[in-house]
Amino acid sequence: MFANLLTGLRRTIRGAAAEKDPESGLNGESGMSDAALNEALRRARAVQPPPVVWLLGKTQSGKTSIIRSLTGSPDAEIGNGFQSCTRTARFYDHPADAPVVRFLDTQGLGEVDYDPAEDLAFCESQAQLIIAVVKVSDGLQGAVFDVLRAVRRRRPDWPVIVAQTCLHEVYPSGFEHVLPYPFDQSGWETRVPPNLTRALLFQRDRLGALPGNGPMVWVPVDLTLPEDDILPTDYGLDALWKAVQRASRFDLEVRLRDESDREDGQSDSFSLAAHQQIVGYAMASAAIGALPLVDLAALPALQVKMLHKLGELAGVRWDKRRVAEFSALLGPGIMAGYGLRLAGRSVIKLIPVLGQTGGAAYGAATGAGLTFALGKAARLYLDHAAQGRSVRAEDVRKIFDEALRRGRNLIKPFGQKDGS
Amino acid sequence: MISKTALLRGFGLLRLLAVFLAALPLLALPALGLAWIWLSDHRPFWLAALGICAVSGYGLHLLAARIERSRSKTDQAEQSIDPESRTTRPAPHWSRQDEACWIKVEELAQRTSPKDWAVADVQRIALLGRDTLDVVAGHYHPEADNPLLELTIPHALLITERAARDLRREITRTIPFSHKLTMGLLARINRWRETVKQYETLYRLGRAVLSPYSALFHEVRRNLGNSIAGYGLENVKAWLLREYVRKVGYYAIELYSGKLLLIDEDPTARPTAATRSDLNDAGKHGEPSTSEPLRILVLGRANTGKSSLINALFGRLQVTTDTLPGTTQAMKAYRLEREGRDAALILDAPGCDTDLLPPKALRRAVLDADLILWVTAANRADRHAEREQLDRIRAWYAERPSRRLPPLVVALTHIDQLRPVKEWQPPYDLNAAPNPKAVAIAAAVQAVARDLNVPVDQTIPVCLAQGRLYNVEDTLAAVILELQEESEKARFLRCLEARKGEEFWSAVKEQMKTAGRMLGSVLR
Repeated sequence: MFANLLTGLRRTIRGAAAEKDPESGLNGESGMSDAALNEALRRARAVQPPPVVWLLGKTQSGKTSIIRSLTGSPDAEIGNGFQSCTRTARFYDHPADAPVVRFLDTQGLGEVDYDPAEDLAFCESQAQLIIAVVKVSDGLQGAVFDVLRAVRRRRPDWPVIVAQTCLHEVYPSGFEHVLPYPFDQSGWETRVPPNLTRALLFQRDRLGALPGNGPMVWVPVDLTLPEDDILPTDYGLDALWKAVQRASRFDLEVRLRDESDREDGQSDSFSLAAHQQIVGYAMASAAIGALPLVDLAALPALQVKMLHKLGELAGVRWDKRRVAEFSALLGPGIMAGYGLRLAGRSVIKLIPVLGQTGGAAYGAATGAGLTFALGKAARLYLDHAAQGRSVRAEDVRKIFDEALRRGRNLIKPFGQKDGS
Repeated sequence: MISKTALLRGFGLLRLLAVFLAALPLLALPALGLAWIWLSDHRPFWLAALGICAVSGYGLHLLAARIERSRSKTDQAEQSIDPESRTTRPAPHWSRQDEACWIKVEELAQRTSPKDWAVADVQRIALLGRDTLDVVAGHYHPEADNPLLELTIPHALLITERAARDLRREITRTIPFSHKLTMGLLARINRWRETVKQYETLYRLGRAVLSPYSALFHEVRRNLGNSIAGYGLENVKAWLLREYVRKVGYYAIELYSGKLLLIDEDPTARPTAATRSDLNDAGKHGEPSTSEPLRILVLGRANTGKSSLINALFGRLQVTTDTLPGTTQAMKAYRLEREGRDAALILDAPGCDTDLLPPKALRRAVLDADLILWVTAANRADRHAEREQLDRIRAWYAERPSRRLPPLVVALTHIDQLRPVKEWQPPYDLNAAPNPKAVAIAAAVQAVARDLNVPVDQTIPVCLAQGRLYNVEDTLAAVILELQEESEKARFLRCLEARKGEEFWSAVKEQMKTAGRMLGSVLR
């Protein structure tokens, strides 16, 4: 089975022509067609939709910058600051193939020729966390604050984060960001320019206390583009992460960031993006595992897709040599793995058996754990491969073992919380 | 009046004789020349020359007529502007409604031709005047059954007075000796002409009998000459008729649009009540100005830089500014003085998105403005509320056809915050610039002009940040100056409205007082 998985990977990478060939081993044994896989993914997503983060704010207040900074993905379109660019409320699935979170970007309030009422009602029905985005230079945020109050009146326990953006617009000329970030310590009022203090406090005073008892956090941030030459470009992002962690009832941070990836000092955009992809595919695996009628052939197909995607992110081609190398590193790892001993069977037998006999919940957790572990191992391998370094088998094995355990624990709470 | 004999005596009979003697040789010349032609048998040549001259003259006239026709045709094709000169033109201070009415009058004038309206027939002419009045009255009172009657008696008297005064001036100025022509003389001349016409026929008959040969030539020449003169005369007559229609139309528009004040004064000559109170409010040194200043209203959302803009316009600190909204708490007037005179009154308003500026106060301020300076921030894209407010302002003026929408200039502030944020190296050439900042500014100008529905050339990017003052004194001030004429038109109509309000109540007061006095004297 596992050999089939890797064969499938090789075939996928080799080209679309081979994949489309009905007699190829991919389709016959382990794989399934792209359309069928996408359909399975779609159904999985319907059963277990990703949580929705609602970004609320006037047009050009910096909502998209926040999406960009949280996901580390440059795909979200950033405006020029004087003209609105998000035309309707729209979902931004992240990552696109196997989303771990769904951002809901409202069209900016206060835009010419736009009536937000319908969009707002829709957003309220979808979201689990609200991040209100207010420009600190724009003192009058009545429109945004009114929505916040109304939402909290109806849903008193919803968490609300208010991000106060574009701090640099009220700096005196020539002033740079105060470092280290002072706003999470008491007494920050005296350490930033007085006009900024007053503007920040003015907005907080204007909104006052929200109805209900859900958490509410104020976070001043200044997320700029590198060409703006205001350093650091993600001023306050860590504070925003902390706020997100505190406020969100689903583990948004776990979905988007993996601190353990940073241990080797190689924390970079690849690790971040890879983690999000791995979580996404692990969640999709869990969902597919929970679907009673989906042929479990979808699981290896999904894993192939993930490995392919990770290869793309790392800029490493899965050629024959790499597939062989990776399977060699992994093979013993799997056999000796803690997860397999727990399952009491070999991986090769595991998956088809689960499809026939195993409980759906068990299948979900195990399938997700496997996907997660495989992804993490691949991340380590690809990271090294991209830099032309070799990786020790025991490291890969260690990562796999640990990830298998973490993955099962990780996916379980997602499933329970998201379903609520 | 001095009698004719007295005049003659004053000149001196002998002197008159001397003048006549001195002129006699010259006066005799035509007669002698004719006699010579007759005697020397050159008569056929002379007659031939007479005929040739007449025919070629006629030819020239035909050519002129054709050129005129073709020219008027091409003009109509290009634009329906006729080549003829007009002395009566629409007044510059008229509102859009008045201008629309003027177009109707102009159309009527174009349709008028002497064929339909004999100039000599006074009654017909009066009818034409009535038709013109009908057109104008119908324009202003489309709902009334008889729009002609929709005017007050004092106003009707006033219009007669004005038209008569106008006509007197023009006749005195343009028609030679009109100040010496008596009505009696005109009547006598007319009588003489009738008599001469009778005898002329007799003379022509006699000549035909006595000298049929030369008579034929004379008849040809006479007819051709008459036709040339007649054509020219037709043109002049048509022009007179059209001018007549225009004159009547002009006064009718003044009348029916209610622009005529019963008092004889320029409405902008002294400050209106609103301005007087604002001038007092602005306080400071000095007595109020003698004439109504231009009122410039500075509007926009909170914190966009309205007060900073006023400071920049004055070139010194006048108004307090702050980062937080609500610094300007109420409408406040500032006197902009140039060479010791009140050049303008600048009105600073609280943010139009705050509670400090209730809609009623805003409406009053807007209707009392001659120029609106709309301040908007380049770094805030949520312009929905602003557009709504501007559309409301436009609607307020659209409801009042007798007023003109004052010119609207948009000051686009905070352009230093546009990308790249850190760069600030004015001046920026927005038309041809590879500079990314200039490109961003130009794009912001386009976006704002579109969002707020104002012309791009009236959307002026400025910077008001401390130490970065840019484009206010030069470009913005220049644009305001350029629009001054428009502003003055708006001011005229605004003052007119204010005066009419004053006039109504002062007239009522005056009438009550007089009536009361009369009643008192009767009772006593």
